[in-house]
Amino acid sequence: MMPYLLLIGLIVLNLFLAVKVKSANCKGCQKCQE
Amino acid sequence: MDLINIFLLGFLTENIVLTKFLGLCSFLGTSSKKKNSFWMGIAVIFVTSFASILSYLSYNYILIPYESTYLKTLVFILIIASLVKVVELFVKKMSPALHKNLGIYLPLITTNCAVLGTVLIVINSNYKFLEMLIFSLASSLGYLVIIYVLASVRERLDANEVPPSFKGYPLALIIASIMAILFARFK
Repeated sequence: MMPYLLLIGLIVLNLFLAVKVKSANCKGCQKCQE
Repeated sequence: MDLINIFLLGFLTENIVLTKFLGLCSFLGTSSKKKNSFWMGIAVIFVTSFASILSYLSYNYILIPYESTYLKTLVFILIIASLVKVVELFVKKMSPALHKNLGIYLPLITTNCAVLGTVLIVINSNYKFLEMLIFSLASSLGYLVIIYVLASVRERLDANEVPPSFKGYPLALIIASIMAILFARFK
């Protein structure tokens, strides 16, 4: 159970950071929002 | 094993780039300018060190006790990917110019086999915590030194007359191979 929780936690963390990186790279145009 | 020996093993004898031939993509890609290669090396040091620590802890305290060592590669890759994203956010915030110069090679540290290679060597060698820390630091420091030396040589050669067919990557590969021959002597 514990290893799978670790795996899911890491995937969720990665998704969260991916969203952060994407919003940091956003230049305010409509392109990425589409 | 003595800590100095482990340091020398990671830094010289089993240099991750020139004896194991790992991480060659970013090694050739970002070694055109000294400044870029230096900061690439620093990013790799940060990612490798923290990835080794987190992988060591998760492997020894979660994966081994729960008999799930078959998940190790997946867990290590996810740890490395998270750390690379943190580094990317940090570099973007601190120096947008450097972020632009490093370009695709910064997010590509995730797939840099030098990082995963170091983590797997550390885990498979059954090092203790301090030994693991010294080896991962030495290994990534070896990467920084080698990439910086190659960038210095390439910068000097770019200022000289070189036959057109040797310009760029052919010359970089020849220099890298000469350096690899030198490093093979340390064994």
